[in-house]
Amino acid sequence: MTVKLAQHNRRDIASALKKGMFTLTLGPFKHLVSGTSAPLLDYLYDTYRDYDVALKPTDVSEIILNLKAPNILRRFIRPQVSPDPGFEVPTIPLPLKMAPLAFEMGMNLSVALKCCRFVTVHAGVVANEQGAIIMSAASGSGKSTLSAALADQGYRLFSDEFALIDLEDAMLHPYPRPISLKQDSIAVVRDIVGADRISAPLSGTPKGDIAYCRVSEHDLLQAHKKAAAKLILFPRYEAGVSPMARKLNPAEAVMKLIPASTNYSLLGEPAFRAVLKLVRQAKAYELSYGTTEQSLQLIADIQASGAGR
Amino acid sequence: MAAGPLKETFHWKSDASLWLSEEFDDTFLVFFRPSGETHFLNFLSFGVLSKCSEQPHSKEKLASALRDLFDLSETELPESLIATVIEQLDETGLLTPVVQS
Repeated sequence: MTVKLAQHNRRDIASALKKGMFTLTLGPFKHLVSGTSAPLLDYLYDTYRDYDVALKPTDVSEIILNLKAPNILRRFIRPQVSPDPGFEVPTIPLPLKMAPLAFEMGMNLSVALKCCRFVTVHAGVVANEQGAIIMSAASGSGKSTLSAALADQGYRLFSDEFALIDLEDAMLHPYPRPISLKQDSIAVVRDIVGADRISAPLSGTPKGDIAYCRVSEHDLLQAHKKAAAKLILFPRYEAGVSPMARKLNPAEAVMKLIPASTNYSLLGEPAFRAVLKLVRQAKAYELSYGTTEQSLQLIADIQASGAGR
Repeated sequence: MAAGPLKETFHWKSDASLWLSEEFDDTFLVFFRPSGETHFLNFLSFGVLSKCSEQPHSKEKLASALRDLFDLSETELPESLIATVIEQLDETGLLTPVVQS
């Protein structure tokens, strides 16, 4: 039986994590997680408090993630933790206090490299009644901040990391994990959503300062509802730049989505067909902006012009 | 892809069963099944591909057929441009050479 994580006894969660029996159900995936560190437990207990979890393995799990020390020495001396998603992948061992980062990195690696039921694209996704907005950009381009800002405006958060595109009908599947915030975006998003939604920052990580924004309970309750894409955006944050939107030919949009996908080449023809369906139903734009307000205004202008409705 | 340098005597063909295409405003996306790659083609390169899927063509024949198709002059569509497109499509595997005896 799955109940919200916060309704479980903390000691039971620790025990389930230790035995590899902690099952997190989210969107289209069931995740079986194991680990023993106190920072991981603290993080899950706070940031994942509203997620459905079971303290026993389900019959079918798609993602199996073990957070463990890279070697026996690092269990005891200056302890470290590494994500092990069950397949060979290069990871950097992190100090134990950074277990939340190791956990989120491990989850991302699992979805990016193992998931073949969807075309996975590195992108933030939000949706409202009219449809979904995909924001595909490299790390540091502001897609997480933009995802958080749009979610604060009433959009449902699907993900700040992955667009999961259905191979059959190109619908987008929600996968709302905590929004990953780096450096300056931590303060920006804290101002937007409030400090109580932001985890304690981790300093000195390989990605600089990092914090996570908790997903709203409302978005988690809606995490089973798919949406069709209405806008595909390629945002680019650059301090001081004049805000600008450029409409893209759908073929250009496809050629920009392909390198952002982690499994397009692996899936081949079904992925090509799904991405074609996606771009046929949505308008695509490149956005350049220097502030979050500018990006929100650009999106509002595009929507007001009739695109993306 | 041609093994060795391209020769004037080559004719070029394309097996249309090996690719899927979709047009968007005079541009074309072509998915090539053997490589799993997706290519972005303009109207000219897709014209070359289409013509070569009908029957093998020499560079000269292609240039002439495409000038007729797009209503272009020899200056606007020189053979050298067709040669460049052929070379690029040959690189992708979408075109293959046929040596005419």
